[in-house]
Amino acid sequence: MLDFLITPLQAPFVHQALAEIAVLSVIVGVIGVYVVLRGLSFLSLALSHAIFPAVVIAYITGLNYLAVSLVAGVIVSVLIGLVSRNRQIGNEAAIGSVYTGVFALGIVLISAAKSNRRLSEILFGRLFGVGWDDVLTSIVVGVVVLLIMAAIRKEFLLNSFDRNFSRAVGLPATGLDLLFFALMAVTVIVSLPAVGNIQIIALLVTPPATARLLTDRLKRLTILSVLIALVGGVAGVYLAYHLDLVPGATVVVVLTILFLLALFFSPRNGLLTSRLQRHKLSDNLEQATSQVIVK
Amino acid sequence: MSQILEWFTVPFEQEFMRRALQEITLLALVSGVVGTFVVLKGIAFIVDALSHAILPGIALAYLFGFSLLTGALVAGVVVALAISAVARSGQVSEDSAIGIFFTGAFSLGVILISKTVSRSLSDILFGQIFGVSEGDLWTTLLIGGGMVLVVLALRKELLLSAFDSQQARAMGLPVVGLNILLYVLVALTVVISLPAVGNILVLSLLITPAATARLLTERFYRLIGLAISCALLTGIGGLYLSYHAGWAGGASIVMLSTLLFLLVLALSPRHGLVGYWRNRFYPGRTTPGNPSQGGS
Repeated sequence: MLDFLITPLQAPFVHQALAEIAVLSVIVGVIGVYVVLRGLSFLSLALSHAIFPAVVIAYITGLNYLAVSLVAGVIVSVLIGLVSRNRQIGNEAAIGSVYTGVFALGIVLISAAKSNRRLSEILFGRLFGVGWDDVLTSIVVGVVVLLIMAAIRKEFLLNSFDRNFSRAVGLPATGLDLLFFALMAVTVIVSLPAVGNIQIIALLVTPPATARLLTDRLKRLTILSVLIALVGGVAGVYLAYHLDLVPGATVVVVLTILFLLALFFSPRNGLLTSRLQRHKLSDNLEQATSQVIVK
Repeated sequence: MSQILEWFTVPFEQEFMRRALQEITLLALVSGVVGTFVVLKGIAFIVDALSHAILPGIALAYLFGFSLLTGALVAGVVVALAISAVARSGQVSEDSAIGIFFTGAFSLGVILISKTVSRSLSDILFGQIFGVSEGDLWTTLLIGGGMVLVVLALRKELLLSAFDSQQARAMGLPVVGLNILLYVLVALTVVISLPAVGNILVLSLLITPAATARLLTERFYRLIGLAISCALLTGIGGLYLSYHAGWAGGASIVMLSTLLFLLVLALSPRHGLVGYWRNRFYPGRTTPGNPSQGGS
């Protein structure tokens, strides 16, 4: 058991992977709460795919990834925003049409550049290939994102629960939306090289949704979602190391298992626990009625 | 002049290009028809989720040697049931439930394939349009043909339940059954597109042509016709592009498809930006499709 925990730590790349996943857990745990509360999974999926060409361009040309992807993120957000204004096609179809096209552009770029870097490495992230400079970038970006979130958390919360009321008290609803999308985009951008396109959705959505099964309070929700992301991330790294699996995908599978456990066994309203309680309740009721009848 | 002609004819002297053309034509027909309903119902996210979620089924099919079709269908049904069960329990919103289960299933698929299947993951994810076999063509023809017949037979019922499920229910239509039918049709479309475009880009095949067509017409049959035409146009254009430039086949088609969509969005007289600006700056004229905007 101890060996299971200690052996991986002898490899330096595991230190970096653990540090990176720990930093990312804090950021995605906090941002993810709002993604789940506002139902923005599809938008985050679209963002992560749409930033993909930026990852490719940065890999091929050696340009700074953050700069390229920030530009790409802004372009795509504006494009999606413009297209979704059109009421003729639904919001979903608009997002889907735009992001698949931009994603395809990334794939075309890879095929055109005949890059010898494997596509799957870019798609699924290289958690075991992050360096200390990546970790440092994540820390800096994370601190900025968290400071902004902390400074205006009340406005965000009000805006995501009751837009009409928040507009009535004079909050700039559209501005807050845009700011949140920007924070979400930045979160996706820093996480992408480590965990990849699809896995980032799971990191954003699964921990807060799991936490949501366990509590209703926002503060606890945030803390729990960070903790769940952290546990899933660390467990995923260990499993991937020992079983030689794709690390990003392993983290997601662990997170999904945690969600299912919470879904079935949550003490408050798990599917199994509530059924048991109902069973007990009806047993008690039966006993009570039978006693009444006997009397 | 002859050089231009050659640019168009030379690619199709190759057997693999002819097969790719046949396959993309069949897929354009099927996805144009099915995609119209996907766009009308606004279920792009769940379609995207399903197309990702079938990956573990494909991996298991490779592993144990049963047909890809069975594996993908079973995985799709399991994930769809899990999503709707969790969303119905009311604990987690449908949006989150979709996000959780499709990423989980997809990651499981990635792990299974990377551990066990010798075929490269990117072939499965993005397809090999130039590697389509005779058998793939027959599968697409038979299953796709059957699907189109089913949709044509049930077109009125499907349309009504897509537009107004309340009304459809009031008229005694089996709305839940029709929804399930639509999901099965989507899953089948994903499966037959797998060899050619893979399971990530198939979403584009399903929604982009139909969304483009939606900008151009309000009539149902024209919508289907235009969706198929858009899919054909960009499909064939993509084949030429990837043949001459050496780009990835499926991705070239998808990219062209989105370009066409954006172009139509900008220029469409009814619902495009041009129409919007015209209404805005010349408010006296009303466009036939959009009377409500005319007066403001």
